[in-house]
Amino acid sequence: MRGLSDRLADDHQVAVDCGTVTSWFARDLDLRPGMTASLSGTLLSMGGGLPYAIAAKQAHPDRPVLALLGDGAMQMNGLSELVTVAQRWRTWADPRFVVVVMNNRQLSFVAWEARAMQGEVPFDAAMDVPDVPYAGWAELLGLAGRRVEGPEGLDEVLTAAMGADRPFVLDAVVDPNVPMIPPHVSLDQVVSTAKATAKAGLQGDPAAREIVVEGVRETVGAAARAVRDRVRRSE
Amino acid sequence: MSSPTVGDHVVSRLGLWGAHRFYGYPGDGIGGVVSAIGRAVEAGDAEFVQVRHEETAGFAATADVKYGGSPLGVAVVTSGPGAVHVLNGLYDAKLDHVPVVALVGQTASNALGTSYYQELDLVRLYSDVAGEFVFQVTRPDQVQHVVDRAARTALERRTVTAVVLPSDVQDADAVVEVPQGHGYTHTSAVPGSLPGTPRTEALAQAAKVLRSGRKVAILAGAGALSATEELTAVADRLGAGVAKALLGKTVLDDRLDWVTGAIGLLGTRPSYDLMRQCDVLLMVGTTMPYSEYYPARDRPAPCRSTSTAPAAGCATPPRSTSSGTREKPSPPCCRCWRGPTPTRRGARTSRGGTTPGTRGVPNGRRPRRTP
Repeated sequence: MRGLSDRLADDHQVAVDCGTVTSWFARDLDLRPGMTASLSGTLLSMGGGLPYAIAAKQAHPDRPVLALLGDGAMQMNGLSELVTVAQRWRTWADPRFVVVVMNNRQLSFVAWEARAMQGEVPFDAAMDVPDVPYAGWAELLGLAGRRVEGPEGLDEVLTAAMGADRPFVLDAVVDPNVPMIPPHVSLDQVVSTAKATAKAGLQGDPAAREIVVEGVRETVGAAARAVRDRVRRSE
Repeated sequence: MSSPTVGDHVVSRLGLWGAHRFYGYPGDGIGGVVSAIGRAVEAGDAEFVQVRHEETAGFAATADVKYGGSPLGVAVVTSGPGAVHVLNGLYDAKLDHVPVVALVGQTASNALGTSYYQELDLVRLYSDVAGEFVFQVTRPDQVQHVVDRAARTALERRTVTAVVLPSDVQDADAVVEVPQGHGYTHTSAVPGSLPGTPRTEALAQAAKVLRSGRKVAILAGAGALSATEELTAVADRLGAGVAKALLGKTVLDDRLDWVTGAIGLLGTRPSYDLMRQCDVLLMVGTTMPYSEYYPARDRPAPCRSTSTAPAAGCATPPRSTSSGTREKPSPPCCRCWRGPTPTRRGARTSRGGTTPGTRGVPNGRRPRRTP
C-alpha cells in the first residue's frame, strides 16, 4: 500500500473491492483531492472492484486506474471481466490500468469475523481460496502480469506496473495471518479471538503462532507509536 | 431511413437526460433496445460496453455516475436470467444513493401469462430495488412519460428505477409526438433543480453549536466530495480535526496532520479518539451508520440535511440544501452533534489554533511493512 501511495498520480482513479483489502485501502493508501476512489460502500458486495475500475476508465480514458481486489473477488468476477479489459484497452487514450490482487488464499475478512465473533477456527473448506495464476491469465489475454511473493523486488514491480504500456495484473502473494486490528476492540472480541487462536494452536494449526506474532507486532507497535507521539507533543 | 422504433425512442429520450453510456449484455428479450443502441453508437450518440455478466453491468452503471462519467447510469439486460443477474449491481446503486435506470427486457406481450420461456414477474421482482419507480411498458405512446419518470425519479431521489419492455413493444413504431388529448400526460426531459437552501434559523443554530465547542471534530463523507475547499476553511476556522468515511476518502489529503484518516472498524485509532474526545461533532455529507464509532451521545443539536439523510440522528426533518446546478454540485449535508461538556481544565480554545485531542492528533499510520 505504501509503495502504491507513492506512485499515485494526481488524477488517479481507484476502485476497491470488499474484504480485508478494504482495510488496507482505508488505512494505508494515501489519497488526495483530485483523485477519485470508490467501492460498494453500503451494499458492501464482493465483485464491485473490477467493474468500477472499468467504468472509471470508460468515463475518463486518459486517467490512470488502480483496482485493489482480494483474491476472492478476483475469482468471483475479476478473472472474467479481465476479458472485458482485454477487449477494450486499446481504445483507451492512456493504457494505465493496474489490478492488484491481494492473494492470501483465504476469504480472510470472514475468517477474522469467525475468530472474533464466534471464537471459532475458520472451517477450511469454507474459507480457503485456491491459488490461481492471476498474472499468467493476464498474459494469456495479452495484458501484462507479475507475481510477487515477498518484499524483494517489489519496488521495481510496482514501478513497472504503474507505468506499463498495457493493463497490468499484480499478483501479490500476502500473508493471511496479518490481523486487521480495529481501532477499538471490546474485551469480548479479544477473548474470542484469543480463544480461537488458542484452539487452533492446540489443533496444530500453524497459523495460530503467526497470528499471535503479527497481532502483538500490530498492537505493541501502535502503543509504542502512541507513547512516542505523546512524548513528542509534551516537549 | 425507416421510422424510429420504441427502442430508438427509449435511447434518444434517455440521451436528453444526459445518459449516453450503456452497460449491458444482450439477449432476445432486449433485442430491440440493443439494436437501437447500436444505431445510436453508429451515429456517434452513444457508447455500449458489453460486460461478461449482467451483475457487472449493474456495478459499472453505478460507477459510471460515481466516477463522474455520466449523470445517470444505465444498465441494459435481457429478460429472465439477465434481469435477475443485474439485481445485485442495482442494489449497490440503491444503497449508495446513485441514480441508475435499468432497461429490462421481457417476454413478448402475447406470450405473457403463459409461463413462457424467461417469463418472470419482473414488476414484482423489481418492486424493492426499483421501488420508487418500475413500470412495464405495453404501448409505444407510454414511452415518453415512462422514460421521463424513470430518469427524473432516479436523479431526484438518487435511486434505481426500472423500465421493463416486452420484446415486441421494443420493435414497434415509436410514438414520438404524444397526442394532445384526453388521458395523455406530457412530460419534459428537463431535470428539476433540488429545492432550496437551509432555513436561516437552522444555519444560525448550527453555527451557535459549533462556536460553543472547544474540541470540535468533523466527520466528512461522500457528500462532501465537491467541497474540499469549504471543508478545509471550516476546519481551520473551528480548529477541528477531520475523520473521513470511506466513500469520502479523497475529500482531504490523507497526509495532512489534522486529518485522522478513516473511521470505523476499518479506521484508525486517531479517528476513534477524535470521536470519543470531541465535544461538538460536525457531520458533513455522511450517513455512516456504525454508532459505536460516534461520540457518546448527549442531545443532538438541531440539524439540517440534504435529501438522503437517514432516519436516525436528525432532530428536524431532512430538507435539501442544494442550490446547485449540474456544473456546481450541491453543498454537502451538515449535522451538528453536541457531546458532553469537557471537564478537562485549561483546554485551549482558539480560532484556528490547536486543541489537544483534535488538531495535532497523529495520523494513524501503521508501521511500514510489506504485505
